[in-house]
Amino acid sequence: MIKMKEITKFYSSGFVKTFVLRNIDLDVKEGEFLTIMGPSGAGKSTLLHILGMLDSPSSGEYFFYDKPVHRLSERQLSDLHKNHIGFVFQSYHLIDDLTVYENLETPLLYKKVKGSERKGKIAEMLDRFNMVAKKDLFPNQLSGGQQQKVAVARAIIINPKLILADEPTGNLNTKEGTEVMDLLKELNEGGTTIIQVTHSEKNASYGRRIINLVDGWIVDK
Amino acid sequence: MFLNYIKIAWRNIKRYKGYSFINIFGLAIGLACCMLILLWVQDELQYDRFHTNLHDLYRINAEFHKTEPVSHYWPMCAPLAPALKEEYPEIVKAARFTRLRRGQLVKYRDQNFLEPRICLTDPDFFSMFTFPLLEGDPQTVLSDPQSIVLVESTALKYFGNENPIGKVLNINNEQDFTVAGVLRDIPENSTIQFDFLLPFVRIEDFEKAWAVLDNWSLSGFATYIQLEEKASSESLENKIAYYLQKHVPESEDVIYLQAFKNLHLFSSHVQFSIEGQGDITYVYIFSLVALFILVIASINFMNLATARSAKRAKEVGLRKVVGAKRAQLICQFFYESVGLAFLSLILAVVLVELFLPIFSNLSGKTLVLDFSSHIHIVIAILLMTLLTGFLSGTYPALFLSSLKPVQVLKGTLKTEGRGFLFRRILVVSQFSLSILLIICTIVVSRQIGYMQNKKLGFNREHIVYLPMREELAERFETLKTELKKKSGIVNVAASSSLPTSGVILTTDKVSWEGKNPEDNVVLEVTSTGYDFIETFNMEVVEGRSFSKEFVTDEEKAVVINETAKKIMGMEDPVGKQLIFGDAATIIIGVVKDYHFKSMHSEIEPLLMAIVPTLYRYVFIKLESGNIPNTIADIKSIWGTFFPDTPFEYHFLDEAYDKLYRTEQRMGTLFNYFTVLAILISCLGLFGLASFMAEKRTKEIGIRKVLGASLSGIVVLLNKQFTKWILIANLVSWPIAYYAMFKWLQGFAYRIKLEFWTFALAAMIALAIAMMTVSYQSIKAALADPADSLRYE
Ligand SMILES: Nc1ncnc2c1ncn2[C@@H]1O[C@H](COP(=O)(O)OP(=O)(O)O)[C@@H](O)[C@H]1O
Ligand SMILES: [Mg+2]
Repeated sequence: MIKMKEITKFYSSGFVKTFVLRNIDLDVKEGEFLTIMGPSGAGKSTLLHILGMLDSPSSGEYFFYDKPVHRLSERQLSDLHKNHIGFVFQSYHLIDDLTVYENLETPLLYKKVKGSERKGKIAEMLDRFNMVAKKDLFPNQLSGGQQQKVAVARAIIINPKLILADEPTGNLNTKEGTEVMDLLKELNEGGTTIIQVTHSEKNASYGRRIINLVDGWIVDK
Repeated sequence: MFLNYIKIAWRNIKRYKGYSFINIFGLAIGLACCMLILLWVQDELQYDRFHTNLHDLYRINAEFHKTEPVSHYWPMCAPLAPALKEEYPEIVKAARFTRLRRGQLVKYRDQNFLEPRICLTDPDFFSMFTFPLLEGDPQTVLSDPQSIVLVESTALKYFGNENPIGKVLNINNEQDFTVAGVLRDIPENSTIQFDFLLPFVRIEDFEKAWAVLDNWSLSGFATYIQLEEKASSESLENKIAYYLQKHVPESEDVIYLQAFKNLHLFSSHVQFSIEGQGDITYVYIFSLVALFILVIASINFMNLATARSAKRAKEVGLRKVVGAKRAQLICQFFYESVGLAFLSLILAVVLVELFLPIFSNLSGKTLVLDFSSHIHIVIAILLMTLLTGFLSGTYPALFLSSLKPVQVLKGTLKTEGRGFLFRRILVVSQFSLSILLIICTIVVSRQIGYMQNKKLGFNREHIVYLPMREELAERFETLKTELKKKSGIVNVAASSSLPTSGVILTTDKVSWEGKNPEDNVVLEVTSTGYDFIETFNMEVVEGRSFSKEFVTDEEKAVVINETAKKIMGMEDPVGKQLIFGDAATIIIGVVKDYHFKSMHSEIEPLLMAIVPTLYRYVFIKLESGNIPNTIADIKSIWGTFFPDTPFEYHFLDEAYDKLYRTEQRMGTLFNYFTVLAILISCLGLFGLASFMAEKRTKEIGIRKVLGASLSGIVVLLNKQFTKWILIANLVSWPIAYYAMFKWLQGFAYRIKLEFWTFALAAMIALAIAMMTVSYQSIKAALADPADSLRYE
């Protein structure tokens, strides 16, 4: 499903290049549950963003279902992205001016899903996450865990093939964290590929494969 | 999707109520001003356009080349119109038109009114001009010399619901006229205005002294002609240019045609301006002002929208994460800004409706907002709104949508950089325009004040004038004696003209001993009675004023002004002979120059003589105390002399106000629009300042924790804006200087452009901006630093 070859990412300020990712080779098969670990500032988020096509690498090749992502236009990327990838951030990142319902609706709108089908899907998500009563609240009226649940719901509402989760439980308490992790596990069992970044060994144990990132290098443990 | 955009936009408006208000309201004020001005401009441009024959109608004017600059005027002699029509087949119709100089007493049964708007014209008038007759036949209506035509509202005034046709009106207790037609009321935007029309052939009955139907030398009537369709006005002009010389060989006047459609706006070079006359310069100036205000308001709108859009970066990033294409985001921002602009437009229409009566009053027009008849304005405003909305959406639409989601979400995005420069340019241009307007306002109002207060060369205070009918002239001296017996009256005099409206005669038929025959001297002539010079406190610099002690003073003596003395080149004019027309007169004195016309023109050489038959006005100088009582006395004396003539009086001051009414009106409007322009600029600055202060809340918090004082923080924020305003001044000063220099050229007597005007404008702009910014920064500085820091 995913094939990365010699992916490098650096930021240049003046004449100084700061490397964040160096020569990353990575293969991920469909249905995998992969965990990326490593110290803070190692480049985990950057890697995840590149995987999610939210950012582009400085050099290297990236194939997604054999399509050369590094050569696609912005429009093609956004098509790939909106049909196949769901993203969950550590700090939830919901649209502040939209209600829970509308936040869930937005990806469907961009996917041009019909009105009745849209209503059905949103209702199903709200039901599944026990958020029916909260559907008309704004993000700032929810607790962190509730917000993250909405963020996960928003990511999976388009039935993505791949879910990318950047420290999804980082801002949650244990109980909320476990709920989110259980959910990811359930999705994985349903066939969705999951790549998560985490610091916690416990969360890492949900996955079947772990890679370690240090200073932008993949290192074996 | 669309609904989603609307929701977001609406919630944004609600969330940032202050900004949204400033943004929408600012643009609404701008659009409203612009609409009002455009209504005015449109009305000026539509003047006289209702005549169906408009393109074939001309007025005959004459040029007189002996003066510098060449003088143009429109009053023609009476025989010209019929003679031209007779001789040139391409002139299909011709009509003379004139308004009687004074009000006439019009009687129907036991009602009588003094009617100021009685005009005389030829029968062709009705088929040339589009003044629809409600009653009567346009072909024949004024053919009968006993007939009279009146307008609807006047007919109603005299006859109520009775049928006016065939009713007999009496004028001045002398002549009877039979109503032969009723016209629809004359539109306000018509140069030709009247309440009554009489047959032109009756002119000699009213203007006995100077109106002679077959005299080619006495002029005073507008002459309108209609050319055959597609006839060339130039070829006719070539044929008739020296037509007057056929009848008056020594005449120096060259006649030419002025298109009737140009009469209202393009006649400022023609002498004897018609009441209500416009000037294309003001149309240009106000169109420019409208544009300025709109630009200022649009800049504001763009500025605030841009500043605020930085807050939307996160939303943009997230929308991209969940699948938005760039094009969709661009659309979203355009929809939003255009929608907001149209919200302003709706508010603007409400504002226009609200302020239209006040504006109409200020501009002296009756304006109505009627979308169907102002298609141009509607389209222009719609386009402007669309453009403003579009431009203000450009920055967020193009810049924000181009960002990679991570840039926004990680918060590493520097929104300052580009948007900042863009906003700085906008603010500077906005303030440049405001400062330009401030300078223009100061200069315009100073010039108006100058004209009104300049030493006229005589004292016009406490002088009332009474218009006088011809037959009163012979009884003037007795009237004067009676009046002078009253205690509140200082002096009484008569004259042929008001000291505001020039003279009754311009002549070059003067000669004197030692005159170089090559020289052509043009003199203005006025008839002034005894005591005229004394009544107005004019200064006699040589010789003496008219006096009853010298029997020969009447018709044999003249007084000239200093300019005349200079132009005639006389060393010692008193006692010299001056041949004027065919009368030999003696110069008995020289008066100090005084302004007998408006300040648009320079003082010309003047000759004053006593010709009682030409008296048209009685001037009475009053003592300052108890004026109403004195007026009542005058009224009762007037009543015993002329029981049939209603008493009519005016203060000379009012005549002066009238003289500069156009400038004054334009000045007032200018003031209002400048204040609005500044207000809009400041609204924008206020929004921007609060936005900046908010952005720097954290910095301000830290500075406070570190011990910065309140004043230090205020200065910090003000510094930036001050710099911008100084730059704006540098931009606007040269433009303002040039524009005002040009405008002042139109006045013979004008103020100097002084540096302080510019400095003052700068100070005003700076002061207002500082107040605005300081308010915001004090608010930011007073906020508890803990509050601002906690949220980071
Ligand atoms: N826009 C940027 N410019 C320069 N350096 C950046 C930028 N974004 C991230 N970095 C640097 O890249 C490194 C990796 O960041 P990140 O991928 O967020 O690490 P992690 O998620 O592993 O903590 C960090 O050292 C960070 O400072
Ligand atoms: Mg990270």
